[in-house]
Amino acid sequence: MITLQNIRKVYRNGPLEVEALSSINLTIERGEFVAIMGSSGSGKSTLMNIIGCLDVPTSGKYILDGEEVQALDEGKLSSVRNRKIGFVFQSFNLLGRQTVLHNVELPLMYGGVSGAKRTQRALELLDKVGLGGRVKHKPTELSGGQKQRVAIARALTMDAPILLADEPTGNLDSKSSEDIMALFKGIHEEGTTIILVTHEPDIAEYAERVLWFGDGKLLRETRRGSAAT
Amino acid sequence: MSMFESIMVALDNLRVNKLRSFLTMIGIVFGVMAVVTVVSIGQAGQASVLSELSNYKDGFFILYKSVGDGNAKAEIRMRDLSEARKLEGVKYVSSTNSYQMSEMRGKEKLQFIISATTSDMVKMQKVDFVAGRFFNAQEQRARQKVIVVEAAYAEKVYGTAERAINRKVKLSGGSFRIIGVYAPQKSIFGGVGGTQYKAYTPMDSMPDTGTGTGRYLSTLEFLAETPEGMDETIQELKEWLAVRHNAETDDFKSQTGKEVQEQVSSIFSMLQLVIGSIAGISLLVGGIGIMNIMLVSVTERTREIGIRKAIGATPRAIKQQFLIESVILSFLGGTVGAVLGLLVGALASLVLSLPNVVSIWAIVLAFGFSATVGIFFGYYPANKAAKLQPIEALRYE
Ligand SMILES: Nc1ncnc2c1ncn2[C@@H]1O[C@H](COP(=O)(O)OP(=O)(O)OP(=O)(O)O)[C@@H](O)[C@H]1O
Ligand SMILES: [Mg+2]
Repeated sequence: MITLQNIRKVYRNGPLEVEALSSINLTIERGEFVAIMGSSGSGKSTLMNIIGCLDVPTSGKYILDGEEVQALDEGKLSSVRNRKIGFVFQSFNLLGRQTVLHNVELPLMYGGVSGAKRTQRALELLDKVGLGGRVKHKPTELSGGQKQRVAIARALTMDAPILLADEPTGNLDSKSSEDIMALFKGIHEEGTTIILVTHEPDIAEYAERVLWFGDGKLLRETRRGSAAT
Repeated sequence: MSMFESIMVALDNLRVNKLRSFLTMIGIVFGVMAVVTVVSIGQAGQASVLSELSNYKDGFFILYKSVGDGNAKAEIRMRDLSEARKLEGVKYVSSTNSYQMSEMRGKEKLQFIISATTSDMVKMQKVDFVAGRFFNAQEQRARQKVIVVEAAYAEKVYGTAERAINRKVKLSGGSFRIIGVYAPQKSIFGGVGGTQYKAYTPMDSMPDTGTGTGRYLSTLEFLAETPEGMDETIQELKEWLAVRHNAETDDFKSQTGKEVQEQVSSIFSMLQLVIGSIAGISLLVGGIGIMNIMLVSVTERTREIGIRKAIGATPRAIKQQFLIESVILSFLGGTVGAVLGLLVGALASLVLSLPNVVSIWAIVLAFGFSATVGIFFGYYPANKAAKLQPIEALRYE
């Protein structure tokens, strides 16, 4: 479902060049639960942003569902981000001035779902993440864990087949982290492909497959129950 | 995303930044207000002058000798007046001299502006009689001291128009008997330099006019037999005068009622255009204000734009959102400005005693212009927002 071929990402700052990713080859199948680990600055977020169609690689090929992403124009990319990918960020990225409900409705709005159907769907998901009683609140009135649950509800509204999470528990205490991971576990069991970046080994435990990154390279990977390859 | 939703999102954003939205709008408010006010007053003035001119019947024109070219032979004399009456194509001919005179009423000095003319004048102009009549040819020939005064004078001195009939006006040129009272068109110049009452007397009843057929006249006034034949008649009359005075045809000039109307219209249009353009510049400045604020808004909301893009907002949807915001701002400003402009225009008309013309044209112009300003000056910031790379927008602190 996700195929990366020779993906390279170079950041240029004047004369300075930083190679954030060098020659990444990777395939992730439908329904997998993948964790990405590695030291700070090893290129994990860069990779996630490319997979999430928020950023473009300097070179290489990214094939999503048989479609070459580089060939898509901005409009089509928007649609891919809307329908195929749910993104959960470490810093939540909610619209602070809007209600929780409106935040969750946003992807549906851009996806062309309107009226009662949209509100119903958003309420359903807020219920699922345990925030049914907070729909009229603003994100600023919520705790970190609650904010992240709003973000997860938002990522799920369009029934996207892929859920990307870049350190979703990075800003949370261990209790909130456990709640979030329980949610991810359930979502995965419903068939969603999950790719999750984390620094914490016990979070990576939830995944079936762990990719280890270092210095812009995919160093090794482990699968649950098997030794490092 | 539907248009309705875009509008709701835009309204929401404007509501959150109430003060800023209001301040942004002010530029447009004053711009539109200035345009609407100028155009309203201009049109009212024009309507007033034109209605005054519409007193002249269709086919009215004047002839006069051109000045400044030093041709002493070109002249118009009293005998030309009586001869011209017999010419083909001429229905009526007359001549008018104006006099400023005054009457003492107790301690008050009443100013008159008197048109000394022929009895035919009343057939060439529309004169609205409230009481009495115009002087006739006999009275004119007999040089009777009769006068037709305007209603305002009759009402001031005698209370009603009827009571003024047969009373006397004691002017410096003698005592005149009132035989008619008429209501002139309201004039925008009416109030200038204090009240001056208008009146008509027979030409020869004025003192010091001299007598005889040889005396000079400054202009001849005509009513053509038919409006269609007017131009031809004018040409023939010029040639006729040239032959009689051994002068050139070009030494005599003409001006038709229609020409005057056109000139007045074009002068007012010019005035409106010039002042309107100056007012338009303030609209332009208002538009730049909108652009400025929208640019700030885009920068300030870079992260929001990033979030919206990350969850699937198309560049189009983002562009629409910002464009609608600026159009709403300028449109709201335009509405407030148009209302204020109409109010100021109405007030000015009241003070200047002009007809209150609600100019649809000015409103359409103001709205069209403000919407254009909104789109034009909103486009660049909206486009800038739409083109932001999602990841860069999300990283923006
Ligand atoms: N916008 C940028 N401009 C320049 N360099 C960048 C930019 N974003 C990332 N980098 C560089 O690219 C490299 C990879 O960064 P990335 O954010 O992918 O690391 P990471 O693995 O997610 O780290 P962390 O675990 O700290 O989040 C780093 O060296 C970083 O400095
Ligand atoms: Mg990172």
